[in-house]
Amino acid sequence: MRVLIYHLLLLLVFLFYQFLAAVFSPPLFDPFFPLLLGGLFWRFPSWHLFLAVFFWGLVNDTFSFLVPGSSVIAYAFGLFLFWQLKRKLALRGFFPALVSLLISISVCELLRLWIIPVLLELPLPVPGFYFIGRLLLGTLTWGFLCWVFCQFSLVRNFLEISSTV
Amino acid sequence: MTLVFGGLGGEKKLSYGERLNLKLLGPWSEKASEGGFGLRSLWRKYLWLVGVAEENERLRREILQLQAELARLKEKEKAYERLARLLKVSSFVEGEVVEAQIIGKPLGSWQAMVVINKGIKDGVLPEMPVLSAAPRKGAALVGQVVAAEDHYAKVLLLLDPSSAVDVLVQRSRQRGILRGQGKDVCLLDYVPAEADVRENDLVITSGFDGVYPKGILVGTVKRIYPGRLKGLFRPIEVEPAVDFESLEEVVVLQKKPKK
Repeated sequence: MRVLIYHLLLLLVFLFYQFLAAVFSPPLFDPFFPLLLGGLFWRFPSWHLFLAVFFWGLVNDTFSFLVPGSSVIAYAFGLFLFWQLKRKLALRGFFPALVSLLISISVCELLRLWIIPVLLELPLPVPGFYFIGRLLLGTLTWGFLCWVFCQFSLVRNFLEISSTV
Repeated sequence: MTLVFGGLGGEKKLSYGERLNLKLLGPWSEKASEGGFGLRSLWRKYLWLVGVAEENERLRREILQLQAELARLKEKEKAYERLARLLKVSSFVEGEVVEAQIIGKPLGSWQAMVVINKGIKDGVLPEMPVLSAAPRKGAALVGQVVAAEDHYAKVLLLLDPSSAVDVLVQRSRQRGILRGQGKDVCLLDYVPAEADVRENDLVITSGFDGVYPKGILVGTVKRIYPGRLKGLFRPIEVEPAVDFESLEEVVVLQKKPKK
């Protein structure tokens, strides 16, 4: 059931994002990565998480990039980094975990929007720091909001989110 | 890796994974976009009616002006047809078009591209030009198809930094390359500093790049940078004729060389 809710949530976010993009213009944040990070806390089999990373990374590439691969690679790396920060550095508690979330999002988004496109020799927008910076800021805000949402005890209980992963 | 990168070299120019994604999520995205466009239309047509009376009056005046202009242009068109017959000049392109709707926009990316609901089965192939209606200027260039699946296709917009179009300044016939910058204006590059270009000049496709037929409206010159900022050339800002913010429907021009 939790797995189904997780995948449905990602699908709903995708549909809502496209709905908002049609009404106004595309919102300035990456809708998937913070939610994929949240999947780490749901304690379902890891292959579900990898499948979600692969599938939604590829969805992002399909709709957003000329050359596929950047989102898939960046999501996988970002998730791995977050996992390492949590496990190897033994970060526990609200603040250290929040910091590791912000670091992972920043690294993943910079990889996705800047480093991989540069390696693939795609021309960047001018000025690059403005376009990449506002997307990074938007994703950090979105990630923070997701994080705050998951801190409500009602949500924690409903999603069975562990506080000690 | 096969799913992510496999199949890019084929006719569709889409990886196997992207093809699968478009098949699975294309219809969903189409419904979400339809809902969004519907809501926007409801808001504009029935709720946000501030200034409609003034706009009606302005439009009536504009229709009268346009009717007069149309009559003049029809005369010019007939003259052109006569000249073309005389000189045996024929158009390179036969004007078959496919109408399509935008069903997907980029997800948190700086790339300017959209997904449309027509694909290979509708006759849409990579490198076909995409046009749309421009306010008070007829049809204008939107970009080109860069990849296609059976029922969906990816369109690279003029605004994308990867986009480059060979263009002419209509008045002075000065040639240049129009490059996207990621923002609302494009950069007309490789125009000599001494070239005769003025603000509000119309910019059209030159046809030399082999992708876009000659004479399609692209935009207007918005700003000319003084001096030689880039060596021998003078960068010029061009405002596209199409309003990309409110773009909902497009037409794909099927390129069929005359036999």
